[in-house]
Amino acid sequence: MSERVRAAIQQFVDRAYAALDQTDYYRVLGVSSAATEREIRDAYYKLAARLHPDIHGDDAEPVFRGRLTTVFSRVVEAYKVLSDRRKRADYDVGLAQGMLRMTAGLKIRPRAEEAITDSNARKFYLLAQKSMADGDGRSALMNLRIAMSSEPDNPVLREAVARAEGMVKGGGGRGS
Amino acid sequence: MEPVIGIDLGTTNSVVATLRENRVEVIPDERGNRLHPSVVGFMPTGEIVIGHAARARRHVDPKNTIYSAKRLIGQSIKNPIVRLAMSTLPYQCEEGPNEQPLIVVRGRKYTVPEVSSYILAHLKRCAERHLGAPVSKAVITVPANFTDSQRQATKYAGELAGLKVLRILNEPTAAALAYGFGRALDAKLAIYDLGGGTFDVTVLQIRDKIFEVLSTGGDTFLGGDDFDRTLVDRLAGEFITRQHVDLRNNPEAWSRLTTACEQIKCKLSQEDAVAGTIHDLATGGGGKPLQLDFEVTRGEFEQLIAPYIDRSMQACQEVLVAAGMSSEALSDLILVGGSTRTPLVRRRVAEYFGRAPQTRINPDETVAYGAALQSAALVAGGLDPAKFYSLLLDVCPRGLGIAVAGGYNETIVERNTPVPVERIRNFTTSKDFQTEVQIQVSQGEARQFTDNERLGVLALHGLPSRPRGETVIEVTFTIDGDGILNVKARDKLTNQETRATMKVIGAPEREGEGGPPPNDLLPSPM
Repeated sequence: MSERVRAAIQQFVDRAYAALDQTDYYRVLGVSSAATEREIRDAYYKLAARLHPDIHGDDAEPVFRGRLTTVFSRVVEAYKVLSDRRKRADYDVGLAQGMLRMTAGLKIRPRAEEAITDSNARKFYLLAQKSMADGDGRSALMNLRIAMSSEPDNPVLREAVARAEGMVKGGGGRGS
Repeated sequence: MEPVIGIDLGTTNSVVATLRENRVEVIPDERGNRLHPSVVGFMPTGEIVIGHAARARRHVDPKNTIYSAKRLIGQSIKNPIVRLAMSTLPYQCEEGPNEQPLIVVRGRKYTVPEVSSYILAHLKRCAERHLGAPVSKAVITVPANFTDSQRQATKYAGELAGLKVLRILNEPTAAALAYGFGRALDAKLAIYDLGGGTFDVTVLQIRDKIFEVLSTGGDTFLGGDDFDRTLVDRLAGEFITRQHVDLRNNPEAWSRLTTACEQIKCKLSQEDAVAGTIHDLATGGGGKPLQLDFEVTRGEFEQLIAPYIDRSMQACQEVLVAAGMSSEALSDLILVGGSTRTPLVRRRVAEYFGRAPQTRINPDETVAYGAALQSAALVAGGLDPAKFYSLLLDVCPRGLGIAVAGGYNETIVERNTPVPVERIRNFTTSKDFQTEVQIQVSQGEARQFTDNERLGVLALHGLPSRPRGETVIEVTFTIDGDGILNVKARDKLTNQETRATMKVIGAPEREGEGGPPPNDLLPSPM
């Protein structure tokens, strides 16, 4: 085992631990605010391979282990927010106002799908969201129609349909 | 270096394995069996037999032969599904402290972790014999959707068996580790794991040696035992019609019928119909021996079990949605657990995921294989690239919430969050000079607190006596790599640690063991 690597990680963890409350999620992961999904995942994997408590064996010193858990937990928090399009958009709004973390269950405002009560409708709404994120308006519309069959008057679904229709018209089903 | 082992502690059978010279070895018992029945037999002589020797006693002495303990471990005896499971078990259970079920055998009461510890100790002995060295560290697998108390109880069973439990590992994740071992992959996998008593489905991404679980779900009360039970109910029903005898009042006959139905089920995986006779099953009027003639076709059997398979498909859909993925994005499908040998299961799963399952995996051994790999990875660490076997980024399968005003549930950790995870919440006193705060904790994310499964009560003790609202206690909730909740509390005003105890329903009480009781993490106040 390279002692140099161990010492470097220890130093990194101590510094990150001390600065945790002044660090935004992009800096936690060491990526730019324009980072792509792939770049965010790569950064997460790279940090995990250094900071995951399991990497340090079952005999790591307890104080170091505690800090490691705190720092890694923040890395995960940053990853979970930045790798989810909607959460990332919410986070960016908060960050512009100086909020470095999304606390309270990682929510700033209630999520749209909570306005959908039927569980099947909610599932198809989430699938539609995913399709839209992939730029596939046609699939999104299909999923939304299924969702609408259980809750035809739901404003969240109506709004999503309008967005998906805009997408299909704008780019023949692909692109924004 | 001391060998470490991986244990798949199953409902019906257990498997133990180890990594030696970069190869995984499945460890046999003294007679060469690689599959060890999870059965403990209490002999009239006071001797305790485990594994194959115990299974042979299941219908000789059903009241004193304990099987399917995994269905009871870490559960509250008040749970209706547990009560249902208990009603079909021939041995006697009663309520113990903290709502735990106690198993009563020959006038002695055993906790479920004690019974499981006999099985684990047996596996430990098998490993020591096979490896010719003492073994004291192990990874033990559990179904991914096991609750906090089920994990705690399993870990405790390991400790009772003299093992340091390096990790409580999720079974489908273990299967993925086995699948990815020694291969350079960039793949997305679905693992469908249907065992004797539990069902899990997990979606995960593998890149090189990093295994990232994207989402997981399932049903802790769904498995091959349910398939057996549908057959038992059918044949017992026919017996009433034809012989006018209710086998439910006859534990010995019930146990023989259950064993027979398990065999019928297995045969129906190869054959289209199974017929036969069970002799001397019961006695009729005038002491006349009664036999049961049966014939079951595969079609009939498939009709009986279809509702259970439907339930598993529902969970598959939820897991794909949570992973934000469609089945086309998957690169492979893995089936784990003995019950995936059932042709209808294979057919339905293949249909749902739109692909044929991976077949090079042994569904009985792959979980123990992965556990052995994880035990080696945990002992080696991974800072040295030569020893970097794999890194597992697993998730907590359940959300964690607390009760707040109005009967609502506030989510603290969302399900499918990678572990270990730490979350901080502040609590304040609502009455003047209040010195204790109690917080109800749940597992689940439903809006109404009571719609979630109860986890237990978090109590903050010995708070300084101040006017209401002046005391702010910062509580750190940590879900560790085992998926077990730990709590720590601090008075914000004085920055001193405060005593916090988390009482988990159905979890073992560990007083008098020398170590601290579970979740009572702070040795003393201040």
